[in-house]
Amino acid sequence: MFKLLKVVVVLLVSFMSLQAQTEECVWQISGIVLDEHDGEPLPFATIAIKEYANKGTTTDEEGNFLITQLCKGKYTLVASHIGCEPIEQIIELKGNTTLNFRLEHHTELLEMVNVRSKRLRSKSTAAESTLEGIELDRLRGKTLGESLASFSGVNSISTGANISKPVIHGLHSSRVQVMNQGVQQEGQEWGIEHAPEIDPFAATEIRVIKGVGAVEYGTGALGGVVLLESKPLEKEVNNLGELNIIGMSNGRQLIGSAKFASRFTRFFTASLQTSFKKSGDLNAPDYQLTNTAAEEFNFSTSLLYQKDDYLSEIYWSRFDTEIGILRSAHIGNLTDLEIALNSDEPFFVEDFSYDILNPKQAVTHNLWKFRNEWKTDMGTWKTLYSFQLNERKEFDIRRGDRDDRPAVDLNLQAHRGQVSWNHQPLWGQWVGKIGIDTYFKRNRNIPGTGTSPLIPWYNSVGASIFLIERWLMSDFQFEVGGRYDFQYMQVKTFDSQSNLEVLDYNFNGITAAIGGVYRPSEHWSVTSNLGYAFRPPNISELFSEGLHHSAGAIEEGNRNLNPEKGIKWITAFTYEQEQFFNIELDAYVHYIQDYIYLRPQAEPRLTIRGAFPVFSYTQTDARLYGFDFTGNVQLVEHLNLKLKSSIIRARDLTEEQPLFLMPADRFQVDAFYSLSGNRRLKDIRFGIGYQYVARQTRVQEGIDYAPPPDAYGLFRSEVSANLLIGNNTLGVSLSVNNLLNQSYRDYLNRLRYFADDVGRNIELRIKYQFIN
Amino acid sequence: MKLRSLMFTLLVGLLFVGFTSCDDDEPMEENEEEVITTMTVTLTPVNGGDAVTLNFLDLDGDGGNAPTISGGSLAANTSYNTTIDLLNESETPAESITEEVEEEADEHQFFFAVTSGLNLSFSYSDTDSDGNPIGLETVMVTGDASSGSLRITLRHEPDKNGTDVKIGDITNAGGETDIEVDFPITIQ
Repeated sequence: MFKLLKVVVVLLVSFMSLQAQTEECVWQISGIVLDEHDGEPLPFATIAIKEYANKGTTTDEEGNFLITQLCKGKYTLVASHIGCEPIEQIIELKGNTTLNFRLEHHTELLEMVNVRSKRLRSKSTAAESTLEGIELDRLRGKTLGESLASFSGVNSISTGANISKPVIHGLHSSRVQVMNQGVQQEGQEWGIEHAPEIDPFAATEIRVIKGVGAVEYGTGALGGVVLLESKPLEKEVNNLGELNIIGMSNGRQLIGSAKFASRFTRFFTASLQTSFKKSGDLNAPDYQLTNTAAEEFNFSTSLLYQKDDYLSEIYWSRFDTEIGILRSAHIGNLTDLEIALNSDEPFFVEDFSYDILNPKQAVTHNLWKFRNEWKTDMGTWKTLYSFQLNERKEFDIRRGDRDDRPAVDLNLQAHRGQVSWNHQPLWGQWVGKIGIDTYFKRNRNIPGTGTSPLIPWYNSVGASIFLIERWLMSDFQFEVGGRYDFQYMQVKTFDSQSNLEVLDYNFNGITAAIGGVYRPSEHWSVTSNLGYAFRPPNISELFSEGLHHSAGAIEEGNRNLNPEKGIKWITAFTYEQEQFFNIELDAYVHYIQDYIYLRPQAEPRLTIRGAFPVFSYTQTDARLYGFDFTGNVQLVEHLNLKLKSSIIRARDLTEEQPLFLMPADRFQVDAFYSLSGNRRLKDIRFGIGYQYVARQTRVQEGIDYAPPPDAYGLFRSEVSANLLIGNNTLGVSLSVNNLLNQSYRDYLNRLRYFADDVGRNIELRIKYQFIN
Repeated sequence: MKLRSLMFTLLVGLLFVGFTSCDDDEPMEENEEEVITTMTVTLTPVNGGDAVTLNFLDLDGDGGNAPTISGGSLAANTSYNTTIDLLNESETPAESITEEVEEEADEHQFFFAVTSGLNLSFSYSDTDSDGNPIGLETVMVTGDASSGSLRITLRHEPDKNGTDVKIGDITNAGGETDIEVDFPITIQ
């Protein structure tokens, strides 16, 4: 009887809905879902209609949703989002309706992994982490490479303290894609001694993706991606200004930055940002590091137009730096290197100075960007055009009057155009993006150096198409993506008889990734990603030829290299319980076929400077695996202990030897005593930390000039607080790095053959921020 | 909508400009100006007689073909006035590197070292503006018959005031090496 009744009801309802459909079911509900706390739009929030199981949808990247073809009537809408309490709202639909939701996050999620919930829009399953806010403030004034080393699993490979670049899970340079303001950074990134030409002050957020197959970013992402972004002005804010002044004792450095953004009419926002740095010679505990002074002057500006569903932005940034390179690291031959290795002190030690003499680098980098976004019923369209001009000059110690003439003078220009489409959620849960990406790049050697160029003339064009789809559920996310790249490169160079050679290269390949996030309980989550990527050999690997003055070695390119192919599996386990207990463990294994590396050749080459070892680019198969761990435990109220560790093992499978220049094991522990303070004085924090870097014992005999340096441990301390003055904030922090002024050398610093690393550094940071 | 299509046209236009700006320029070959292709050491007996020359020749510079080195044979117990001449013969006409060294005499110094067994000593006979030795001109004095090799080193920016540097001891000289060539020598 009861069953029969049910059947009748169902039939009746179906009939009624059929009836209803024959009525005019043309109405729609649209709106935006915002975060209760900061008013930011929430992407990928789920909107369900209780009465219509098939009418649910998901908000797009900007938090907008649209449900169409509704009949008039009474509906219960439920808005939910990962980490939020669902909200129900009953409405009487009489016509097209706009409805906004404000969802509240569980605070513990916000505290620790705001990435997961708040920024799901860009959260890839490929082990992504973010540095922003107070954590980024602590690193202001440091180089980008140093700043990135605070991510677990990321190290920096450096040529002295002023030139450093990120190493993600053992890979760096051409294997790491740096995305600056949404654009692939185009510099001479193949060189270990070429740092990314980016002003870290311009970014309000730095993210790292450690997995591979992040298909949006191209073939440079074989080893991971670094993203620098600046957040647009929040909706409620009209003017935002920020001033940073930093003083550092080591090198008597003064660093400053200023930023101002203003919504000067309803639709236009303008921003201007600038930063400078002046640093003298740094010092190691026992001596001055002569000629390690540096200067930097950067600015960026943008104009943003925003109206309804349309956005357009023009952006220009300029980076300009001059960096001195330790005088003693410029050597003539292996005898000199041997002398340097056997002496306790570098040969050239002079009094402190701000002068930047040879050897030095002078680099400018310009980025112009023009982007558009518009929302349509079909989804969001985006276009991006960028032009980059990278000018690099390197000055050597030379005979005659050639000191003012660069020994390396490169001019790189890169155009890039991208069109992408984020489609509306399909079947309620699928969100995705499809895009095409094209570039044209030209590299020229400016004549007049009086030396054979390190890398030749080349033009390169490339095109690619990519697709990413994500399936989002409240406790599960699934992601799949693919990309096809085609690249053509023409190289012009001279052979030893001065004949012009023209060589053409074609590379193409697939990048693909599949991954998922599973959140079995409120505290636990597991993220896993399997990615496949390829990377064509870079220009230096193919064509470099010549003597490296800081290495006392001859490097030879190999014109017949194949692209590297890598497959990486990375899994992250996360446990989060408010501020009391948080851990994250990343485990990964990366297999790279045709891994390109410099291999020592049996025969040294005799020159007028004596015999030099010769290194040639060779390919092998490599396997890397490792673990990154971060943990945060509240011992007692106000006192937190933070642990961080990363371990990597890398092996050449053909030679059955360890891979060269892999980060040593490292452990870090920080204790923080924090007080939330009162209404005026906030975020008071005392911290002390210790970092231990083990000796790299996994090295191949005979390919390095000196054994890896000893293990070292460094202490640091800090105290910081924020003072609220009305709407404005004054932040002050004082920190000391290498507290005990210990002498040490790091395996990943190329100047370790010549001098100790920098000694104690007392850093004072003052930040003033005003908002209205 | 007008604005949108305008923007789109602009973008396509910019891309077009980008891709068509592939100019057909050619690279220029750079002369290796600082290369030393040739080193000639001329030893003339103080008391007259035929000069002996030692030669280092690497016309294609670093890399390419290996250099040729020819030594010489000296008379026992004889003093030789010795001069060094450096050339860059990859340029036409050949460029004198000796002149460059002379112009920056205070930043350069030659050192002479023998393998054990070779009875050969030397003393500087030229000075820079500070009165310190350069080594483009020296006096070599042979002892009894022996054989071995003579290493000639040119240091750029050495510390000429370092201990014993002025008398030709390289140990405390520092700087960086511009030349380091071993010549086989026989004294008979």
